[in-house]
Amino acid sequence: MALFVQLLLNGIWSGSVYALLGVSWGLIFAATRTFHFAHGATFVVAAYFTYIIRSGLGAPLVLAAVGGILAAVLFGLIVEGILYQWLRRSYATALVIFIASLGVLIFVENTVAMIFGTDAKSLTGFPIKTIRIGVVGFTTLHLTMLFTALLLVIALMAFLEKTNQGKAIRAVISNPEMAEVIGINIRKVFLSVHVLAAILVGSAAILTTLERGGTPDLGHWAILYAFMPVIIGGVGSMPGAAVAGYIVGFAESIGIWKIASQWQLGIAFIVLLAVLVLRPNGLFGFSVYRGKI
Amino acid sequence: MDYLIHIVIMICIYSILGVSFNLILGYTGLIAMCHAAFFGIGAYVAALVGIHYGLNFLLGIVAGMVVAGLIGLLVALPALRVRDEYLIVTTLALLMIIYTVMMNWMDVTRGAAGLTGIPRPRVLGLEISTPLEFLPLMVIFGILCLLISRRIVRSPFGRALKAIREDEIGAQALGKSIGSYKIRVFVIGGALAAIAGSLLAHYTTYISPFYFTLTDTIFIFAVVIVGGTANLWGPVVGAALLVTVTEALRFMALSPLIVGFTRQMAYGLILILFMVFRPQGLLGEFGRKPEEEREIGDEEEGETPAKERFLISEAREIFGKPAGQATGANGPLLRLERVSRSFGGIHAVEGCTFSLEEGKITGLIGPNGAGKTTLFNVITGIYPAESGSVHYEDLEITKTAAHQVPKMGIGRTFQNLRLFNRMTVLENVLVACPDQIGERIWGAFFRFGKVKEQEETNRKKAMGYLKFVGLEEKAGELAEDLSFAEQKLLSLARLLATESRLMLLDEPASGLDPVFMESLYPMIRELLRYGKTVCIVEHNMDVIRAIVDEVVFMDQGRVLAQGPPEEIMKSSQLTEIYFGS
Repeated sequence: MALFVQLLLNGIWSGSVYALLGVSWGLIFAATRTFHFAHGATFVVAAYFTYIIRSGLGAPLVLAAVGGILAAVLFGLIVEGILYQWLRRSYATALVIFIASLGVLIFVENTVAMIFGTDAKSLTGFPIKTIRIGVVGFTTLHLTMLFTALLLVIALMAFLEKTNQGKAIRAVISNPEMAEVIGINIRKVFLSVHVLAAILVGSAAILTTLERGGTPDLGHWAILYAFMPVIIGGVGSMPGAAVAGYIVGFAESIGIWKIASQWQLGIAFIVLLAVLVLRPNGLFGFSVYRGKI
Repeated sequence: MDYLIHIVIMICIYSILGVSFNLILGYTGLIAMCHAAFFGIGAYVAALVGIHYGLNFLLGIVAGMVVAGLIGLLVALPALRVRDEYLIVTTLALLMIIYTVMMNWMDVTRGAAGLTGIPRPRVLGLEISTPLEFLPLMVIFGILCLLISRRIVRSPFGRALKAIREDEIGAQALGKSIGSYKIRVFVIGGALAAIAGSLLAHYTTYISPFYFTLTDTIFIFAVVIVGGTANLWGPVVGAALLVTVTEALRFMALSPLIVGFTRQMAYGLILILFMVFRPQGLLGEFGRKPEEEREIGDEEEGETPAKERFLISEAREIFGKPAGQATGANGPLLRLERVSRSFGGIHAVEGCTFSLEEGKITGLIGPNGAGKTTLFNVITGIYPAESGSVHYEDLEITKTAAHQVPKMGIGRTFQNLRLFNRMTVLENVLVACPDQIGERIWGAFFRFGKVKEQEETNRKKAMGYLKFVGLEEKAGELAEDLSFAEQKLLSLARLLATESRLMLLDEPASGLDPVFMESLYPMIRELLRYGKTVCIVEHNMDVIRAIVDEVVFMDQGRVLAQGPPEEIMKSSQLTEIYFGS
């Protein structure tokens, strides 16, 4: 029983990161219909900028984290504002944008690997304390992961519900053509979506680096764990992606009970396939507007 | 010398990978991240079969193809049923899982250490070991894969693949089962990639998981993209270029680690730059277009009065003897009963009941947003009705899948045409021909003569349809290069080629000039003489008065009236709704 509770808790911690990844990527996908592979690159940029500011400049961790997230935001804006918008202007197909995005991820991952090497970089300065309740244990970092995820996802939902820009984003998600007709600036919406997503994915990157150290190839790990919650939760549903992030976390950590840890991904994959077979539109999904027929 | 031969061999292996991936990415437009996994599966299966059973290497290749194909099927089946983007996710996961299996299934794969001592292939009792001896083998397999690919893309099957890439809903309306095509081509592509893996295993006699990572998938992407997507020779050119450059990098005095990263960065940059500046790759899909010739053609077209476009005298030649107007003695051809369909709380169509008499032209009219197009979508199964029923003759087709409806004899056009833009005019029509033997893999490969014969008949028919609408001169041009009016005509020719009995025309006249329009209508009337039934969505009241036998008036998702046009026009209430006066 104690083991089971411990595994559930472990699922919550990793699920928090998956939720951040899923919600951020799902927001971009739902609003821009771009299969944003370079999201993994944003992740790497945030992790390594935080590392440089912390270890290279010796700034306090909080400041480094803010710097890392700002770098991620800037990176997201560059990819969307320069590359994607250039491609969209020349009527690029979704395939063309996807391949360019893939190129960005590969380029960034390897540039980072060349500069910093492939060994894991750790972030120092986080006050890690172990908390024990009965037989189960966790750390202050784990709690930070949970609260950051909850806070950011709730803040994002509030932003989408309450602010004008948030409403514009939701309008674009539900029907881009109509949104444009009523005078919503689509380019601005796309840029703002990337800013919001970069804040979330940047936070996920810093938390992951704190927990296990940062490596350049975390970029494509991140992108995979960003896709899965979105598909499981249902495209277009932010709460769906968040809940699905936790489902993936639980499935993996409970799977470890019986299966060796290197097969974690296999467990997540089986959940994914099962959802695709049983509920093709995702657990909480509705079919997203796909253009006029 | 051996080193040069080695490079040629590697070019052969990557050509096979590129050619097979081109079927998936270039011709069908599917994005799959797992090509390196197929490559790896082929290599490991061939190696294991060779090491443990000592079977002939050809059996190992076949085994690798079967395993890769089956795994491909397992991943594609659930993903492609939903939407294309999901394939990216499932294939990326597959790639990483296959890698995990290679790394961790120690008993079989020996993990990171890899498999050593893979036996050399034996041909006619002779062992093949030096690069020079391997060369013919590699070239033979390279050519074989190229021939298979060529057969696929030049067969009716490949034509349908391209149509699906260009416009799924358009292809579906011609009776193509989208999912089935995508799954078949994905499995074939995977199985061909396994051949390259088997060859690599036998050639190097050593394989490890590190040969089959995301990096290698990216390399295969680059091979296809640099050479040119959907060009038969593109991947060969891409492989030759990239393999040579990669090998040349080895001679630079850099540490292997740095070289590895620079290569990767270069691939990333290549993908970005090609997408920005030359998305079609070096060769492009069609090679160079004959620009000048086309301009001359355009001028000639300007001199032909639009009125003489439709050669009704030709109709007899194309359709055979007029079958005579259908009488409708057996009751209505299509019957809708209380059909409803809503989208997120908006009732696009609500409780619609009406019927289409056989051998007549029925006009579906009503203000914008009345639900006319939605009704077409309901009938053709794109958005199946949520309640109510649709009957075609005595069959209920309410829940019939969208790609089955056309096979029953219901064809349609679209307001936004949904042509296959990057295919020629002739191909656009050919793809619509019903019951093509060459659309089945078995047919395309093993009933050569039959396919050829059918292609010839279809080609003649297709040219006939194009003549009928006045586009025969343009048969070889890309659909995207036609003027809007010509594209509308092409969509009609495509509909004719389906040989449908019931034709649903969605605003065939909108956006055309009046002279042109006037010439369109005799043609539609002419169709009735050949046993066709027509339903037409139209805004132009003059047109309705001129050619329609029966009018169905819709507003806000409901049918308000059905009757002869004069009667409907007289009703002041309806005109008020329509003109809002």
